[in-house]
Amino acid sequence: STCRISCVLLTPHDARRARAMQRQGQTPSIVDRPLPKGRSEVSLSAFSFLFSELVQYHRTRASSIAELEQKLSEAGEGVGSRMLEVLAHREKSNRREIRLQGILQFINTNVWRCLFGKVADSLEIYNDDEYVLGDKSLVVNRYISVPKDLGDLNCGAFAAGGGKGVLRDA
Amino acid sequence: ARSTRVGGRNPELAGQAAWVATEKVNAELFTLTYGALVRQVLHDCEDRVVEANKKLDEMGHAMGCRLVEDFLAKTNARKCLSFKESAETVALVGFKMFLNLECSLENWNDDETQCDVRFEHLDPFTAFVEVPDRYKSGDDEQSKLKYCQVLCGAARGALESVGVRVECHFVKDALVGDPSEGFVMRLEFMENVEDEYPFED
Repeated sequence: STCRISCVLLTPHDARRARAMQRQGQTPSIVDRPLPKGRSEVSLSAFSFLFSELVQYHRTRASSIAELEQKLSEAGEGVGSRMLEVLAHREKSNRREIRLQGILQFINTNVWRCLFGKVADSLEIYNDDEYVLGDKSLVVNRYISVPKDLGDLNCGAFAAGGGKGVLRDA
Repeated sequence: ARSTRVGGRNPELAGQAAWVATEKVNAELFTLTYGALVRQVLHDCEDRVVEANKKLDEMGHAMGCRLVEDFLAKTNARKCLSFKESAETVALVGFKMFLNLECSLENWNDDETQCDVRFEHLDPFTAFVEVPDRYKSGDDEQSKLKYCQVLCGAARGALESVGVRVECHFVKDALVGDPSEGFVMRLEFMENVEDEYPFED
């Protein structure tokens, strides 16, 4: 795949080593470079246009609404699993969540806050073994309007996939 | 959003003002979503890089055609009187307000129809990204993955929507070439496109 995130703990020593390599004319590989701090931003417009293009791309290839949602969910999984690695290092000092409650809280709070700028609105138990993460206004759906022929498609499947990716890799 | 006049021919200031005024999201959401898109395109093209590059360019073009309306609404930009003004508007205002990208225009040719856009970084696209060797080996530049091609497509689509046809591609791409050379995009003016009327009159 074309996206890789470092699993190596990056210390100031690593940052110095990366700079030393650069001075010697060697390019540090991506795992030697310092991890981005996660405070940079782009416009909501740019993301919305990109997401819309992602939906359009899958729409032409999916043979049903369910398949389209599945494809969006898979795309989201890639995002979620990578955010798990980044956030586990940045915010949780590489501590792994091994309890279900812990990882659900992590998604509810850390993942949602990093990706969408706010914690999710609610986390509830639905049945004994079903949990419901609620968000009243998903950023991904902000500028999406679903035409009639796509019925009850919910592009929030992308965000759901994000949660799934975190859980799968936790 | 407040509209900002692109007046006084200070595109850097206009870009900065438009960026400050726009609603923002975490760049990593953008970066990882874009990565998911590129992975999907490569998978569907079965690793045929030339085809994938073309697809990324087309998607960028479609985005560019649509976001130009957003741009015009938010910046209240006046009509550009030369290709140089168009290029500055796209690079210094457009790239800044949508992606917070800093860049400079250099290497203008004598009749001001071609320039290079040098980027300090393309982090919204390239943070976390390393292109595997199988997509960047070989002598032929065309057989290397053009990871950021949507940006070229978007510039092309946006300019086409306002009647300017251009060629746009990266001449320096740190992801597949020498990382110390950074990212440099070439913008080349082709022709002005007149509005086409759908019927003879």
